Amino acid sequence: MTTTVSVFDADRHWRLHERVALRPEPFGALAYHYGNRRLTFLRSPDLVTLVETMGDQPTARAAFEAAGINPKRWPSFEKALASLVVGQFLVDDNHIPFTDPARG
Amino acid sequence: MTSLKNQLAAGLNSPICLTWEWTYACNLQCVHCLSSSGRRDPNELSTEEMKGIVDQIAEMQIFYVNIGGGEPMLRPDFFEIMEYCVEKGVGVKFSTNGSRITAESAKRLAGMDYVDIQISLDGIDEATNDAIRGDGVYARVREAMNHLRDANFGSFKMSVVMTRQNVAQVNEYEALANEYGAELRLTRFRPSGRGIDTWHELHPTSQQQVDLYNWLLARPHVLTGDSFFHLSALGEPLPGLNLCGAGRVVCLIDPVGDVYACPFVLHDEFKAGSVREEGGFAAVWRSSELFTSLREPTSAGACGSCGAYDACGGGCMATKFFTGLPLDAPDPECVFGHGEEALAALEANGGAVRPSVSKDHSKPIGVGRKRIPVTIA
Repeated sequence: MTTTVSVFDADRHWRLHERVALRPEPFGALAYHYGNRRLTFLRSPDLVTLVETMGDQPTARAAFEAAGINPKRWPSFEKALASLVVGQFLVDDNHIPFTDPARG
Repeated sequence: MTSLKNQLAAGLNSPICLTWEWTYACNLQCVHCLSSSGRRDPNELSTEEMKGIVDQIAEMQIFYVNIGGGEPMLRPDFFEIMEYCVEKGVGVKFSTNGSRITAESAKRLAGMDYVDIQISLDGIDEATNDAIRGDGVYARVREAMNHLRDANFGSFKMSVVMTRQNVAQVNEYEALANEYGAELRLTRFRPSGRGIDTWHELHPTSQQQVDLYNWLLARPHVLTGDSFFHLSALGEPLPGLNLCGAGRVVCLIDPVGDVYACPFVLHDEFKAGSVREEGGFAAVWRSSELFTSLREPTSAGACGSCGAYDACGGGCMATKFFTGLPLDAPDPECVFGHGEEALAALEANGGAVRPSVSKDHSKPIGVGRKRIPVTIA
């Protein structure tokens, strides 16, 4: 989905939402968001490494470099990360951490 | 198949979607019940055994389970096990007929995190619903929905099994779900359990299936549990994985702890093992003979020459099995009519031999149960 790319800015700091859990699988990982109950596939082991380490890096771009991902592959990773942002699996620094299990 | 689909078909460390039926007891006797429920089985899992399974589910990182039955709320330890699941970080979506959702239990459920409710309704009015689910059930389920709304439960799921009689009501279901702030879920009617006998009269016609496909295509937000993947042969795939997940991404634990390949094949032929055996559920999932064989590449069989095979994968295993077709035959509801031809050929050859239910917990006829047409093969 090209429309989702705009939500992801590789020059910013991103991290996994605190209510997201990852389960390693042969294709990469299964990600589950306990907050919005969404389930999604991380379709490559590199993508798994990336989302797990993004929080420790100042920007997404720095995380790409730290994970040793070939710059040619960056656009496809950005697309995958953008859809994770849409599903709130990844959050930026404006995100207020979850504190209260109140139902919506 | 895409590479992701190939990898999913080859099996995962843990299921994506685990259905766990908590009891065979049910106060209703719906004519399409996939598990032929009614009477409790004396061998059902104890509270302690249930908690042991929850521990293993948490360990296997199965993030949420679909609880069903029977009517799960009839278990006296229903809330105890629910709370144990939540405590262990296992999300729960439970399927209920709503009869035990009172003002009080709705409040209790609304206070629990990680809990999602799926409430069954099979008709937009009393006549349509009660013909399937029993007299007075429509009024009761609307009352249950009102209780959930009054308790501010939030969004629940309203689940409808599509039949010849109710499929034309899809717009009205959507409106009703919206009225309650609920999500609509439509699923395919399979000829499982008591459905073995009723499916032939009640399943949607081929024109109704095409209409439903177009309706769903325009509404990707309507949940389907991926159950209509046989319709993806019509063109653009419906949202979802579009594959038979039996033993590959889904499976079922029944109330006595037996593990089956999917919720729609409660039959000895698809029993992989028991959680009561050494190694428990994880051992059955990871190394049972049945699941290992289901993860092998499958032959397209009679569908080999069809250009749509990649889209529908030959359809639903359970639906073929319980109509008496071989597993590599076309789906009985194949959109090109090949399944109907295959069923007609069986009839011409002396009649289809339909499997019967391995564990029937139906109440005797006359105990709140309508007589349903029985076809003896």
